[in-house]
Amino acid sequence: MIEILNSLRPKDRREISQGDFNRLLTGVLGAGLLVLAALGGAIVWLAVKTNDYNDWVDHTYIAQQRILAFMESVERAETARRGYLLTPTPVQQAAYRSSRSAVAIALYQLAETTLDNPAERASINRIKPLLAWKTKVNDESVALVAAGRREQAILAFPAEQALQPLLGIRAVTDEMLAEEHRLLVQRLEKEKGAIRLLIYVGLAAALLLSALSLISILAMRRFAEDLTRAQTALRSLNQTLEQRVEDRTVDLTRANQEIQRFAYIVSHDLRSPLVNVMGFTSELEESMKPLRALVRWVEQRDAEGRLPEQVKQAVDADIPEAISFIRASTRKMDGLIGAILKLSREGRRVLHPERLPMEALVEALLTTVKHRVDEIGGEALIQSPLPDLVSDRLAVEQVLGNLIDNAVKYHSPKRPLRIAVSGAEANGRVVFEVADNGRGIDPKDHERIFELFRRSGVQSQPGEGIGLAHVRALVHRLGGVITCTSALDQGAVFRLSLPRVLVPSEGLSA
Amino acid sequence: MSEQQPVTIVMIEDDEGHARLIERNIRRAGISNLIRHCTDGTSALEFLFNGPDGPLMNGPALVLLDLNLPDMSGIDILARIKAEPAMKRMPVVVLTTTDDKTEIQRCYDLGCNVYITKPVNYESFADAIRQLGLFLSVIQVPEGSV
Repeated sequence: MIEILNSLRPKDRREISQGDFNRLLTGVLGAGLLVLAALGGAIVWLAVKTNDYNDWVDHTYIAQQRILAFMESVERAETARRGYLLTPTPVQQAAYRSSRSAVAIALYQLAETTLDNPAERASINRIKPLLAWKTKVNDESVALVAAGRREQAILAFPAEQALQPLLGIRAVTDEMLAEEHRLLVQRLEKEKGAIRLLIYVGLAAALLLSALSLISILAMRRFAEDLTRAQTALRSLNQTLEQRVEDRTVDLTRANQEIQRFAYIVSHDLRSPLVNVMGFTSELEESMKPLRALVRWVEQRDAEGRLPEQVKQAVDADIPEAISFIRASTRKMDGLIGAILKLSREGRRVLHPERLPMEALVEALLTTVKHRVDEIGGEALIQSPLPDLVSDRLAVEQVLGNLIDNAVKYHSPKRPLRIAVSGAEANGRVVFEVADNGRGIDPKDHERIFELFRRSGVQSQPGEGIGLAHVRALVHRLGGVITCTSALDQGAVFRLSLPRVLVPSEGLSA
Repeated sequence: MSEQQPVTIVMIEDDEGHARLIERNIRRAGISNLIRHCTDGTSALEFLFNGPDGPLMNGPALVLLDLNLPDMSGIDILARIKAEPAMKRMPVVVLTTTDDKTEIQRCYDLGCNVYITKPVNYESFADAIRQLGLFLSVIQVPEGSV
């Protein structure tokens, strides 16, 4: 029952039913159980009591029996005496003697049985002198016969007061019987009452038990229904959630594709005019050749110096300078456009997840920077073990390679370079860390460094601000996150969190 | 018996600057063939398929094709040319700014003969055009007179 109650109290499933109902149910069942326990106690108590009453009834029967047995023994003793008076044989004498002792025994037993009843005890006390008297009269009469004075004994018979004590005893025993009868009726009544009560209490207990069982069953059904309802709700919620995630993914994929397409078109369309700028700059340069030759030709024949200085200045210095600036700018622009194109192309590349033995992969990456690390003076090492993962090899290589390259590139001249690549696995994801002791990154630039064409710190190294933007784009495509922890001159830690198993999304790889 | 017909160069290029640069370099490479310039896909297709002096009616031609056209993709034009039995042997040189591998692959799959990326680096661009000039002199096979 307690177990059922416990199971009905779903502490950890509060969401399936209202707390008020639970509290009410617990209260009702608890109270019911308390009452039931009380009823059980009452039943046991009543059973004991009934048994008691039963014992007393038995006792009364025994007492009645013993009263009758005593009376019988007294009557038998009287009969034996009279028999001896009529036929004074030794047999009759012996019969008298035995009946005499039987009376004593019967009285003793009766006294023993009625010890509990003061009224009966008083009656016994009244019997005792009467019996003594009677016994004395009997003994005298028997003694006379034994002494051969039988006639005297017979003559004395009518006169003797032998009948008087006998009648007294009879009266008292009748009283006793009446008393025992009264007691019997009383005790039977009590016993019946107890049994009746027992039946009522038992009935009440049975009813209560049924009621409690019914409540329990109803409650269980209710909980089961709630549970089913909750499960159904949960299932449908899950389905809509999946649907929503799917929708979002489609949106995201579309947005991503749009960005890729945009980057592709922009870089394409930007490149087109650039071809012209560059081409016609070359044409200009080409055209400058005859022009310069003309100036030289005129110079040689111009003894008076009529050729204006500005013409020579323009042909020899200004125009070549302008052209060289145009070239430098277009080259730079070409580089930037190329970077955008590369990013957009990387976004369109189909990912091929495969099992990557990371220690070997990182080892190979470290080998490619080994000579540079040796030149600078320092070490680059793996903190084994690195967890393996299933992902796109090229992308992972590019990401880690870029991070390692950066660590080498932005080392601090103040101390020997130290690069450590470590990894750990947790909750279906793997986290790799590329830590260095280089020049570090100002915390305000931690987001900026991942943006395209943005760089941070002293611009002492060549670069276009593409590497980390590329890294982040790749990491996002791999379903990962990349963060940076660093402070100026404190080294940097790039933390890369990737799903342990890459599930290629069709939309993103389209 | 076979009268050598000069190859007409059909240049489909929307960017006037590029067209001019290409033409100059072709001329500089010593190629004097007639250059027919179309600035969009529609007029190019019109000329190729219906032009009275187009390659269908007249002698051999070579197509210089830019992929980024305002009204359609050069790839569509390439597909149309290669699907036309009378023109499918006509050499098509794709000239574009993309060096995207999949796009190059697609052009070759469709039957493009040469794929040249328009480089910003002008010297190599001129080089490519000069090589194209060599190519042009090699393919002067009179197809129409067979």
